[in-house]
Amino acid sequence: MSVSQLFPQNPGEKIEFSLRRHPIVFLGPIFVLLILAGLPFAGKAVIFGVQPIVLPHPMLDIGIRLLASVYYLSIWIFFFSQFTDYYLDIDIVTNDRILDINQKGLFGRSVSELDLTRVQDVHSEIKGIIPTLLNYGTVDVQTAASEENFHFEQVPDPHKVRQRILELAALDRKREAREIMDQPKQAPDAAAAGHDEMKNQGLG
Amino acid sequence: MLSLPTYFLLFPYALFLLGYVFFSFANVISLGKYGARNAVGLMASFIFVCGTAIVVFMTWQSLSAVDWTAVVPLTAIPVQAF
Repeated sequence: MSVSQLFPQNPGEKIEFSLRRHPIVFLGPIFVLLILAGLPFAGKAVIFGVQPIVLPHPMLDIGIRLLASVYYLSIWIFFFSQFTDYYLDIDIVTNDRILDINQKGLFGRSVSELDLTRVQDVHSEIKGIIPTLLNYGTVDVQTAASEENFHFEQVPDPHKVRQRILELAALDRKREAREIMDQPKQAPDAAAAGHDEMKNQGLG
Repeated sequence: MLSLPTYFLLFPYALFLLGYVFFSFANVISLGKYGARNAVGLMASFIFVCGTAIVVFMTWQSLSAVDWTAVVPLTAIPVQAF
């Protein structure tokens, strides 16, 4: 399934680029997985050392083995859920709008969109040693004060993204201005039709 | 004397596995439904299934010697494990 199949596109709309968080951010969950996987072994080594553990009941032995299985399966599915969350978060920029698709856990998903003509300002930021080295950061797309701002987190090459969004917004505004300029040619007819309608209703 | 069959311990484990299967399907379906029906999504699902298979196999291996039909009194003698 390609990105274009994620949302219905308007006629003439073209996907310019799509953004996911930089793959390096997924190293966090990988480290957490490794630490959690090693924790039982480390705990056993610290608490009991090399001595064999003596359990007060034979069923405890089976219970602990089953519990270990539950523990490892739980961290494994937690890790996979993290991947799903990471991979399904996507920002799509077309020549007409910006879509922010957010996966919220396993059973939540939000989609917000913003027309490029409404973009007022775009701010990009790279902060920290690793983001600077790997060239990833945040991009803030600001709209009118009452509207929601778009926030792209940990995306690769944020400055280039900002520049591209500003270019696309300028192009979209030009296109819309052209469409408005073309409209007055049809306007007199529309006004006349409206006037006739009002007359028919006894208002004019 | 109060005693318990060994297989009794498998009930909560089976219950957990049911939940696990449900969440696994939810994950894989989310990936397929929302745009990861590609090589990355397939590879991730494959790795997940492999990881699950490894954990389940190791559990099965470590419990292969258990006699599940045995009835153990609750006041049994201590055992050395691990």
